[in-house]
Amino acid sequence: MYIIKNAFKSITRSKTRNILIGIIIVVVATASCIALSIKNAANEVKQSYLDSYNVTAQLSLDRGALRNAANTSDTAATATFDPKEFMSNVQNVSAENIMTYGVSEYVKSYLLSIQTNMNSTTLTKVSDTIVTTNNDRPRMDDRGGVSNVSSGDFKVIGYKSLDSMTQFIDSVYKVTTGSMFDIDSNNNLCVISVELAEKNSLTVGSTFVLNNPNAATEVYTFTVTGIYEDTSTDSEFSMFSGSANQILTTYTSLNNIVTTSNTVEDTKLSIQTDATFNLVNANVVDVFTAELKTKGLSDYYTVNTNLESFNQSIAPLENLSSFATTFLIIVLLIGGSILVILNMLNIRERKYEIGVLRAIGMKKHLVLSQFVIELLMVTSISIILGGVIGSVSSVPIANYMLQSEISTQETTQSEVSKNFGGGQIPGDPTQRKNSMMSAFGANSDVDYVDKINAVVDVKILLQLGLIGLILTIISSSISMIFISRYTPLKILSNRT
Amino acid sequence: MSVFKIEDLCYSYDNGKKLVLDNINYEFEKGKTYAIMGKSGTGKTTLLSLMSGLDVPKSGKILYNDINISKINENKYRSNHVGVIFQSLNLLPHLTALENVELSMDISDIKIKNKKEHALKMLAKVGLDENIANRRVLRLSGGEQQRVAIARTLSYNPDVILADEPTGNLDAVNEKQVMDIFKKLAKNDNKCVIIVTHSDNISNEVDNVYDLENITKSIK
Repeated sequence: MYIIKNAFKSITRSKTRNILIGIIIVVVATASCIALSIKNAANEVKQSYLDSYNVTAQLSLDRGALRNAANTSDTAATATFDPKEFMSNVQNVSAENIMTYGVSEYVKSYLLSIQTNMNSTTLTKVSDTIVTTNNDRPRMDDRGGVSNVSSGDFKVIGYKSLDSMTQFIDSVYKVTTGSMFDIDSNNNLCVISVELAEKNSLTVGSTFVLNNPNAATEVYTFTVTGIYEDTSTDSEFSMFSGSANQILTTYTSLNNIVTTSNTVEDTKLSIQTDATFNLVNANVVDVFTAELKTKGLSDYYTVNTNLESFNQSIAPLENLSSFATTFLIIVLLIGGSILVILNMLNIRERKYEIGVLRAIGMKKHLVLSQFVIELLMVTSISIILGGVIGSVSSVPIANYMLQSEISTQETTQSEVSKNFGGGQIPGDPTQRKNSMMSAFGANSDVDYVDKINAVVDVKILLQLGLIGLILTIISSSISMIFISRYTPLKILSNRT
Repeated sequence: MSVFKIEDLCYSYDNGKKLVLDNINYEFEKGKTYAIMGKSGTGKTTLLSLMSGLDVPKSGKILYNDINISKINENKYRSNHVGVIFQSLNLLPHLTALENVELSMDISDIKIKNKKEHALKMLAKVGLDENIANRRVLRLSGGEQQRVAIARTLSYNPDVILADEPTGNLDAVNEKQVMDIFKKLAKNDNKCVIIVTHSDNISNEVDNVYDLENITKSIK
């Protein structure tokens, strides 16, 4: 008890020294508090963003791996080597495979659609369309590794669930007349585009016939239940977008058609499978990939996710968090070093006092305890002060720094865009959307996390307390060495 | 019966090159005052350091109540059994006279209910009133500081008081007063007071004088 009393007296009667130590610890504590709150808030935002982010995975052919495999194949060296045949031997991912893969603890749900191209003798296509797929990902036909879709004037897409009809969910397509078919129906119900309906005078309830492009006698009759409008482009452009000649039906209907067609090997319809897995969270990507491999997914396939977009969104946050960590380390190193030096000077100054206390019989560990308690008292008060200052200033500082980081990111992206001829004007969303960036793989329209709530909570206060304790221990270690090394006689005789 | 006994004590500096204490044999009893005399460099302060347990002899023994002090815990020995009054006093300047005395009592395990009251009593015993007791020691005169140092040693009631040149910086009046305190402690409180000094005035006042220069003992 008397040690605490003595430590308190020592602090109050050596104000200048202790105020100096206190100021340094307040600065360290404030900086640490801000850095910790930024880091903590950044991690929390990242985690919550990650939790709410719909992580999707899609399968695509690893063309590089295929090329390498083809090049190293024994048959590649032979004159009879046929790359197409080699590619076709790669096990394809069928709709059945997708359904097997979809039954997984890592998958919330999955979207599945199949498509094929067909012709018609009764329907006239809207125009010479630019035939495009919905995205640039490679698709697999049902017969082999390489897409070998039969050419045809009409793209028939069969959806497994309404969720798979993302264009309707995203309001890109809208049924303007009639209604959507029953997704479980198997009697070739379909919806068609406004353009196709007008071109062929089709209405709800009309029927039309499509045939296998490889076998004109293989015909299938479809019934129109609804007519949709593509709202994504102006009407003139939609004529060329490919959407006009799409016929949307159920997975079951199209699968029945394909199954029928498969009975004749030479003329069977080729089919493309398109699947998207909605994963439970971002952490399961690796385990899900491993699970797919155990379920038989060929090594020539890769699992692609939308995490790149996520990573871009949180890039400024990550940078800020990383900066906060570095800043914290630097502050602690510099602050710790200054404290150690100050404590060394303090000990030198108080060498005589140590000698006297030891000479009148005070035990070494008690002398040391008194010094540690003194430092602990100063540190505690300073940490509390630093915590208060830090908690008041952490939120505005964190958001200011985050905004700076976002500006830096945007400027960098803008520069890259200009280099590609995009001529993007920073801050102009229209230009950003139309920039060439995406064509080169850079997502110019990133939805950045632009606000964090870097408040000081109990966890941060505990961390601050721990920092204070560590600083005290490190700087006290000098006292510890000194007090244990010197004898009172040596100290006192040096003085006299 | 001797409270303190020095047997065949030797001490040297510089790894034995400089022998300062050579085969010393002294005895000290309670209720008496002793003066250890000798010219500078004869080892007076060294002897005091050895007797106070601040240093250890190269050979020989120092017995306190027939127990070798090397067998007694050095902190316990210094904070309970012997009181050392250093030549430079070694008071803590940031504390008051009273706090210096109280601290000494805190360090020793002496069981006293009201330490402050006891400390004031000790200070009064050496002629310092409460007003002086509450002043920081730096603001006290040399004589007052010397008395604080004495009060500090008395506070935990040790059997032996070791004083190194206790009147070295004092005028004749203060010297006399301090010496009177020591004599009273020996006679009234049955303490063994051992004083290291150059002063003939002190040697004339004490019961026994040990001359380190001649290694002789003169008993009055």
